[in-house]
Amino acid sequence: MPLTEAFWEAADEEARVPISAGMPLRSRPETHAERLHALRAGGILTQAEFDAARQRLLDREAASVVAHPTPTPDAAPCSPATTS
Amino acid sequence: MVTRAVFIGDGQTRQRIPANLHVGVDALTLVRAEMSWAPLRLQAIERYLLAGKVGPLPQHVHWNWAVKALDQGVRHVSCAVELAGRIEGLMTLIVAGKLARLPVTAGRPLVYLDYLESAPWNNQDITPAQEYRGVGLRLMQAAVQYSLDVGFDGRIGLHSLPQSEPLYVRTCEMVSFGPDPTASGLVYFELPQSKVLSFMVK
Repeated sequence: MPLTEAFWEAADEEARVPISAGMPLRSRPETHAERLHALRAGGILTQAEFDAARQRLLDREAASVVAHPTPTPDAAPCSPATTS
Repeated sequence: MVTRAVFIGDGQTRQRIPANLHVGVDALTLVRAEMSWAPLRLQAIERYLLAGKVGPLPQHVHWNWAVKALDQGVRHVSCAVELAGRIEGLMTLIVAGKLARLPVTAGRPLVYLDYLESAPWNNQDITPAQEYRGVGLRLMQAAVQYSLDVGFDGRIGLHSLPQSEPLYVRTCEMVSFGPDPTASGLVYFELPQSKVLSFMVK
């Protein structure tokens, strides 16, 4: 069975217009995790400090999911803590 | 990880090609995809510079899925279209903490498309003889299916790069909310529930 006309309309449009979603370079706000990586790469944080800070970040994210089974407005789209 | 069979289109023969859609791929899959995608991106940048900064250059040419993989958290679910072991497209969803803005469903949870990209050889701006078509469509449909599966009624939202805005309006029939100052001015889109069915049968 061939692909539908609707598929090809969508696929051909996708060929003309690259499909992408997400933040562009430079104007994208830096995430906490990226900041940590930068601090580690720059020698500001030791590996142990980096590991501890990253673990705290992961713990906080996990806790927020548990604490908010129903999403809340404080988790706004593209807030630094939730973008990757 | 859950795997489903999907069909994508051959960019040259327009035959349908069976592929696998994986939901819940691990970070290593993202890293390994980047290892095969990055050289083509770099070649595209090289061509662009050699041409005097003239010609097509996708706005996401700087993306790096290996770096994105490092920051995958418990709210993220990544999906891949794979064919014969090669990754043809990737998408990362945020599946908790994002709320709908459309008036009818405002405040209800949705699945947010954090990142979505077809492989460079499926992107006309990087590889003119595009290999496969419809990979991005299949990934977006996977996002809607995920939303249906978790009880979000197919609601999805995303911030589009400017190059892709017409696609989300025309092909996906998403509703534009205009530039979002909280997302570097990228335009925010949502798929209305009334368009879910027609979108899924493409």
